[in-house]
Amino acid sequence: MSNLGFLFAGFAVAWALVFGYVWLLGRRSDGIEARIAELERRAEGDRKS
Amino acid sequence: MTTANSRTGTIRPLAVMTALGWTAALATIFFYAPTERTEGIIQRMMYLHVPAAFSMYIGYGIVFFASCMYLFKRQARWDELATAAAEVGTLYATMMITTGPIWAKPVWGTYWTWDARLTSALILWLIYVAYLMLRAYGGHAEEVARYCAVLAIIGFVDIPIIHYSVRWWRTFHPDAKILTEGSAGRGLDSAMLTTFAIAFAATVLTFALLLTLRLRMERQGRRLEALHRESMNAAPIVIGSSN
Repeated sequence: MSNLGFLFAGFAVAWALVFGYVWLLGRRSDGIEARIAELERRAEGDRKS
Repeated sequence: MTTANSRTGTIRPLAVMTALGWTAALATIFFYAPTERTEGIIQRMMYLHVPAAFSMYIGYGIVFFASCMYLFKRQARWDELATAAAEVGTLYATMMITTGPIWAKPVWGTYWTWDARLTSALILWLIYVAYLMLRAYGGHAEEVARYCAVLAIIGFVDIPIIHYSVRWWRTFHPDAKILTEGSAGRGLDSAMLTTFAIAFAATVLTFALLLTLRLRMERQGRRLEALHRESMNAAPIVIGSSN
């Protein structure tokens, strides 16, 4: 691999790590929102009964 | 609502500044910084690798401080901060130990060598991976917070060892050119130093943005856990009885 190839690989790895982490945070955030919705549904059910 | 808005209000300008910072950083890295005579174009990896290492120092410094505060005050907010900073710090540690070997291969002829700087950096990474695993699978929340605080303090001892390893022992890894005693940036061309400063600012802004996002999520998660426990206590739902 040429030095330019190594430079590209280094930057690609770094950006992949950052964007991968942001994606992971987004997934976890979706999980939290789903649990909030579940709690709200449960609270709504309790109010009705 | 006001709190949520003010938090979103912190994230948006930080995200804009980060995007602007990286635009400027990439432009200076590839179009302004001169090509180093010995290493050639691969030396531009410095603008990524060294700020990642400094961001790791900042992240683990925050973990160390927050862990000490948690052990003294036993307030959940310090544990939340330590958790968030440990994860973002480990992201930057991973970036440092992956970009380093990619830079090393064309310069040293090998991806990895067991010299003091590389080995101590790998040990630090392993300590904080253990820390994150303890967080994820440790069990009782208060005990985990205490054990993690102690582990973080022990792990932090490795940071000065990493930083000074290039002076204390004979290593492949070069001595610091940026953070040197007496004169910062000694031995660097002024255009390289300017480029480094911009790349460093962009990296630290990214770190701040990720830490803010992660900390907000940690607080939301814990609040949700508390609400969940409360709702379970108020109206217990029996799924099945084992005995």
